[in-house]
Amino acid sequence: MAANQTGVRPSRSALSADFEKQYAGGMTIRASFVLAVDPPVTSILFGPSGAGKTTILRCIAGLEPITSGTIHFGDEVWSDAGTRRSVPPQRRSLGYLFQDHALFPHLTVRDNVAFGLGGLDRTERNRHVEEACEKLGVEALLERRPDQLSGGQGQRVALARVLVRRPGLLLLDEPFAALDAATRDEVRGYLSGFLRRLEIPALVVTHDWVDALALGDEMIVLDRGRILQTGTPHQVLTRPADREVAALAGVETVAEGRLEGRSSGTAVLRVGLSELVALDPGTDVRDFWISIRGEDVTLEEGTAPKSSARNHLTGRIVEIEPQAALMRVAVDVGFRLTALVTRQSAEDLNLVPGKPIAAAFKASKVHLIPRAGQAGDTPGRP
Amino acid sequence: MNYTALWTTLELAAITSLLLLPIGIPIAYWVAYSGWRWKFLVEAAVALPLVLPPTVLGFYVLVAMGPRSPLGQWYDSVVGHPLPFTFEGLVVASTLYSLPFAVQPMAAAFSMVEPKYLEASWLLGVSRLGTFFRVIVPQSIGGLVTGLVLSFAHTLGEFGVVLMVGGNIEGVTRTVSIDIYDDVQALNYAGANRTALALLVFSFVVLSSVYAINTRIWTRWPQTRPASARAEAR
Repeated sequence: MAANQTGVRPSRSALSADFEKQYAGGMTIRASFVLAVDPPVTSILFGPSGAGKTTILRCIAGLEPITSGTIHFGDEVWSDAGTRRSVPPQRRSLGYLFQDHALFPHLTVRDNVAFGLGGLDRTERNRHVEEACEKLGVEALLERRPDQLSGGQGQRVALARVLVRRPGLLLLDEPFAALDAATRDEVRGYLSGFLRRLEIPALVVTHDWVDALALGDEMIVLDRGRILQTGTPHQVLTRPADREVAALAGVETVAEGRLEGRSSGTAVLRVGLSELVALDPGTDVRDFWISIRGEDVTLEEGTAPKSSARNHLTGRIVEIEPQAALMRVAVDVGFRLTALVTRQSAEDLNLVPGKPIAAAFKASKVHLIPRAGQAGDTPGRP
Repeated sequence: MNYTALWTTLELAAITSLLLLPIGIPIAYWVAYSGWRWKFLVEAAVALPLVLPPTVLGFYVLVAMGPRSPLGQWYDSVVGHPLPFTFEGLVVASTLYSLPFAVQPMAAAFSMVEPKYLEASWLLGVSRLGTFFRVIVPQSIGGLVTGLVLSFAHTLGEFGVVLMVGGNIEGVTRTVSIDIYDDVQALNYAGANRTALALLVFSFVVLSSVYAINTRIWTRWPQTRPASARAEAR
């Protein structure tokens, strides 16, 4: 669209959505949130499949009508159920990344990227296309067809096709769903850095908390059409508002870590005031989110016995609370580490807040998620 | 072989199949994408010529074009002569008669185009009409060619409708199939055989080229349809 080429930015709140979408089958999806543009924020729409995440994205894109409420973008009204007004998808300044990229199979990469650049002459169009493809590192693939691209390449081409039109908002539907596990980690690292440099507000749908940590500034947890919690990914994952969120997104320990050194397949990371050992992630990234599942942490009393676990951290118990059949024990070991132990163990060890205790876990149980120069998000910091 | 009849036949088939492009494509598009609950009625009406005896269709077309019908009277007043037993009348009748042969493969091809491609196109700012020409048509070439060729081949072989509506006027409405019938009636088996064989060979060549084209197109763009793609939250 011509208007987008001038780079005019809409006012401060980029997207404000407050609507309901009701299906004939009975399910109602409610969405109410604001996505800021200054600075541009990447929000994660998080939830299990069937929660209504994709539907919310499709309503914002204008692909589905809303039942009630409104969707505003800057000072434009995109959807208003009251006046039955709805701007068609063609005239919404947004870039939509489909799950499996939806590259047109009958067109080359060049023609795919140029597809939405109507109204420009040939040389201008080619210049824009090549510029966008260079930015995404796919300029060597211009003459290929989509079936000759790997999953990661396909996603970059799809991003180029969207960004060449300079959208005011990016919508990404499960950006890693179409990729295999190995490619996923690589592409996730790339995308998280890329989204941050881009300065376009983005809404990312995912059911994977690793994606949320790697990409998100904000996180909206959704289940069965309702928003359960909003906050930074770190807050939501480590301090779920209630049981429901905990069951969906509870990751007991998430903290910021920095790579200090590596030797023979392991890496040493500084986390808060402590150091811990993890498997060498094998990337150049130095900043990580580290996460440890509560089931993988063992609590020990007194001097640590000899064991194969590489990590033995000492600290004091901060909090104990029951979680289903288990006890959830938070220990301050220089960062907040949470262990899940049986009630019997808690009794035998006589666990109470304030008690000194040692926590052990294997290096292989420390999950590392690259963190591309993330701003803010202080709760994890000591 | 009766070359006049052959020429009349080819002319009729070519005009009919070309006419069916602008008529068949919009109908096929509507059939493929409309969510109207009574759509099946239209689909059934379009498919009627597949099962109706050609004489039934021919009879009603004749009545509709006849001097007593408003349509026939209107045509007579505009053009100056009635429609039945003319080449134009034949074109109208065969267009109706071959409609399903054009619409069905086209509609099938249109509905094979995955919705995500249409949505991707809209979201890139391209109008619905632009999306039709830039996304749907290129991905439906096989179906469009099939529709075109099938309606051409089907018109070649018409008999009942042509006889009912066109009569049997040499150089105007006598087609190859009627010529064969005349030859057989006149016990000219050799002549009938020559024409019949030519028609048989021609039809076979046309159809096998359609199937060949389709095979090539489908292998070139393997259609993978992830079931999960649109299943979420619907």
